[in-house]
Amino acid sequence: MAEENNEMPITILIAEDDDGHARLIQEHLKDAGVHNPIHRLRDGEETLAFLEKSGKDKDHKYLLLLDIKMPGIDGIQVLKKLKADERLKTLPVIMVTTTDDPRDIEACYRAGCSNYLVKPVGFTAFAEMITRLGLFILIIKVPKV
Amino acid sequence: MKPEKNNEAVALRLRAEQRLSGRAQAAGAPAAAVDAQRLLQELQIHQVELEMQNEELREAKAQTEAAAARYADLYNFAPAGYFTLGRDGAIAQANLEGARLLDCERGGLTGKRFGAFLAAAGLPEFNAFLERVFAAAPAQTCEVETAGRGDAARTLRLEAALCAEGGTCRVVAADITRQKACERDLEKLNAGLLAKNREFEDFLFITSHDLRSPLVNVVGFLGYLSRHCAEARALQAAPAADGGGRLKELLGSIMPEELDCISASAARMDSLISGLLRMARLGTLELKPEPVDMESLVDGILKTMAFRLNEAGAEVKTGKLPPCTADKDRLTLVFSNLLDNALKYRDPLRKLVITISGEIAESGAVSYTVEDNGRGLNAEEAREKIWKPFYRCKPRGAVPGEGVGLTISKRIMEKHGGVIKALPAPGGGTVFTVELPFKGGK
Repeated sequence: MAEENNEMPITILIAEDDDGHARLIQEHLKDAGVHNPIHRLRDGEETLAFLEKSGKDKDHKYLLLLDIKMPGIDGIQVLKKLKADERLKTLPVIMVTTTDDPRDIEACYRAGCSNYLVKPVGFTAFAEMITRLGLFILIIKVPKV
Repeated sequence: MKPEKNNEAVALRLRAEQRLSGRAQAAGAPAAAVDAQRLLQELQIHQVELEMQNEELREAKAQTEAAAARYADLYNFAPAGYFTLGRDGAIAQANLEGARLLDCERGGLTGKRFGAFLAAAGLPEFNAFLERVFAAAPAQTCEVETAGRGDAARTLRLEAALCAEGGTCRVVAADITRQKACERDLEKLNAGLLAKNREFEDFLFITSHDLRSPLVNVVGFLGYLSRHCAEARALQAAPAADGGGRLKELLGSIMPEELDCISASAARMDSLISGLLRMARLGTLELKPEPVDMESLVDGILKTMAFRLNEAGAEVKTGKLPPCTADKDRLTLVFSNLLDNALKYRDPLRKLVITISGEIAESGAVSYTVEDNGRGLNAEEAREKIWKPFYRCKPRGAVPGEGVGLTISKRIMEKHGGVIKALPAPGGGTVFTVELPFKGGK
């Protein structure tokens, strides 16, 4: 687990405007055995404001799960802003979104996301997707900012 | 001499002899010295021969003149423009259609340069064309614009060939102005169709994903609900196992919350579908254009919204609004949507001021603006996204609605052949411009 090396565990940030989706992701993460601290952000604006303030904190490591379709500043815009920021561009960003529009997927990879996951409709498929995500979180190395 | 020429000469001699013998008999020539007589006869025969040749030449000349007149008619009144141009592009000759195409009297053309009648922008191309023609390149063609102003300008298709003597060339000019206009219309239609197609694809993607989003919740929470149902049932069967009041927690909060999530998502799907239906109905809508008194239309909307406007403490300034031709009910919907948005997205830190104004352009097109001092749409990206279905500027629930108001307004304006645009207002806020094309009448 993340605590093994005596470091602060990675905080999982969920940028998601849909309360239901945010809760489902949290529940499934718990079921998958991921016990990292989780912080929910409600839209793009809140996400950028949070990262601007806390993302550059040297003692904290973050992983951002980012939804694309959010009111106001959307996920792709958030991703572009993060990658353009010298100190935030190393933050791992995983797109977790309902959109499987190939243009969106391409735009996200081009903007530099670490991974792209499509939220499936099925309960089991959703659980499997989050389990895979959990494994990814366990092995990912988050560079110090 | 060629044999037939020889024969012709023999035949002429015979005919001359016959004619002369007729004359001699009629005159009753007196008998004289034989030699003198023969010489005289020879001379007379020659005289008649010459007379006959003269007659034939006259006839041939008349025929040639008639043919020349026919060809001149053909040339002058041909439905295509004909020009003979010198190496420097000077007009040596032109027919009537040619003069008409250049909007000039035929007499005024001779000696002038052909290029002088063309739009300046196309001159280099015409000069290069002329060079190719005089370099004896076969079958040269070129399209040029004449220098006429506005609608008077024509597009001509020129086809030229070098004359045998090499110093001039013949040019055939055809007026392809209408053909060009049709081509341009077709291109415009095509581009419009392509854009519509892309929009339709976008629409399908957006709607399918927006519909999928609440479905993820419904199925997800149903999954947890059935899991928690089974857990509750097991605890009910063996109450001893329930040490920490888990059953109470399941029944009292966890499962009802899951049910709430499911019903909220179902309601969301219902709202999305009604939005889709409202948009779909627009697709089959037949517009009923009529003269619209814009001032009374806006007045009507403001009266309907008076309560909400008062409640928000909004001030509405209305300038002079010119009348227009449009589908009254649909136009009411567009302006209701714009005013509704101005209310919904107002800046909570200042008093909402909405300014509605209008003007008629020189072309006869009518444009109206609805300006607010609300939160504004500063990013260009946001100003494009607002037209997409289900796009929200604020989190769901913060403002009521389905997110289709502007999408519908845009479709209504497009159906009218008009436009609706959003631009940032000076001093914050947004200016929406609604433009309607000129529809004849007053």
